[in-house]
Amino acid sequence: MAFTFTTLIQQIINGLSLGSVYALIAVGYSLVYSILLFSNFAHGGFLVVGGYACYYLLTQWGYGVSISMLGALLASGLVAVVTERLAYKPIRERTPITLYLLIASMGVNIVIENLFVVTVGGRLHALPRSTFPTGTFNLFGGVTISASDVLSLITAIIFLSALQLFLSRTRWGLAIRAAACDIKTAGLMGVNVTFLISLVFFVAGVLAAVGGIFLSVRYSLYPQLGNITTKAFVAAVIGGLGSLPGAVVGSLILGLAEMLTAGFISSQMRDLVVYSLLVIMLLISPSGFFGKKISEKI
Amino acid sequence: MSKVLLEAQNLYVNYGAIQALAGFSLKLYENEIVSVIGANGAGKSTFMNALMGMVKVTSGEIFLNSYPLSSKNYQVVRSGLALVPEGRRVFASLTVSENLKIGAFTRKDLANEINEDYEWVFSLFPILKDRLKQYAGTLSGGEQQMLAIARALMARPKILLLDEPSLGLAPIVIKDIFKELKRINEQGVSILLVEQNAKQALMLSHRAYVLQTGRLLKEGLSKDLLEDEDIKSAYLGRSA
Repeated sequence: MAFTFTTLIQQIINGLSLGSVYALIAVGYSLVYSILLFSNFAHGGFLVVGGYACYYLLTQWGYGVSISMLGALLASGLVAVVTERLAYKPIRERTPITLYLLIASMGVNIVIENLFVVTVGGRLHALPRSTFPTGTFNLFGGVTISASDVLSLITAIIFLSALQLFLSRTRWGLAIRAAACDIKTAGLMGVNVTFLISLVFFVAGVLAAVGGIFLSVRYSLYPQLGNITTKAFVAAVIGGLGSLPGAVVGSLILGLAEMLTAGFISSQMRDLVVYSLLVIMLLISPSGFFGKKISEKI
Repeated sequence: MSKVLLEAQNLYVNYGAIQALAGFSLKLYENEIVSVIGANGAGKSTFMNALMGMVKVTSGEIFLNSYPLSSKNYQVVRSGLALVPEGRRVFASLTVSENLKIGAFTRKDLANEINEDYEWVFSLFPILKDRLKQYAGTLSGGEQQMLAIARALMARPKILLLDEPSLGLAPIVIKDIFKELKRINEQGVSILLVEQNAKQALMLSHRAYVLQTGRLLKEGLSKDLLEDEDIKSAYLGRSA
């Protein structure tokens, strides 16, 4: 594959678009980590719930795109909250060791994935073609951009900006930042910590659903789609676990690395490059770009 | 005698097989400063945490204005208790201004009343006003303690609880902070103080309780305890 300027621009745009989807997933994942200090591997499950909810609202119940998306975000947010209440809260209340939460989250992920396998089946589903714009734009010098890439980039920017405003400007946003610093002391300020954790899971679930919908458009929908969270996990680690700007930066780096590899080397090398980046990052700076604590966290 | 504001009756707290509090009772009257002194491991912090709903009380009861106090942490804060925790625990990655703001988290009153309280805490600790935009983690130990107290006051508590406020601070800073605690009390906030630094605590408080391995050893007026031979030899050191 020859190096051309057109390919470079093309792949940068594709990379930013893919990176923005990773960012939606990685940010929610990092948000949960910042509060409870464990890697929530059920995050991929929330994403799949969002994808299927959107699919069924569109195809079976015939709702419009906006209602279906809204429903999908709510469904995924609620599943995240319920997961926390049923699977994590009882553990949190019994032990401060977060390893048990990590293990529980792996279990939840398997449960969610297989619930879809037994109910809707393991085959691929595609969101209806009419759902999202399918056109392409032609830019200078033969660069083509698909409308759905632009849409996912814009949507990610909107959601991440909204999250940023929520965290920096509101009372509960401040409480979440305080809890990320020291959750016990946040409780001493009169913050209802149980509610705060539910709120964080809801937000994480909503963001995961947005990512899930765009991934279903980009690829297709299947019960294991959530495994792509591994990429978001890698992005979050590269950016620095628990740091939201880190998650965004890590995601964009990852998206660009994947697309540039696909454009200039080979599509099959994508994952090799991604995981090499992770290994290199862990060797050079284990706490990532923006990570704060590197002691005994899993 | 003024009325009882806070009353703990026969509190028991167990951590597994370890009994941290074994039937401790305490009364705090309105506008009073009460200190609880005792050695490391006597159960002082456990007592504070039990009041705040941070640890589970095995048995016993706590009343605020003769109503049972909630065992839920955030409701305790709403009903008027604010704790300055051991080791200060300011939110290091938030600014001084944000630390004060989160202190007022439970308040539903108007913005201008909260602003009055900002002025109040700045009048007590003027240094905080110069540090507003700074991250709390960059403050010195003494400044962090002032911030932790100011943060608790932003909840406009009826009772200010302090867990080892002198810990790790230079004597001159301790003196300053205790002077401000007296001023805070004079402005109508009752104070419950837990301290290993018995002398400082007894000099500030009106009454005191001496706690030993979860049980009451002695209680009385602070000025009497300062003269008490047993207390002198066990807690105040020879120079006292």
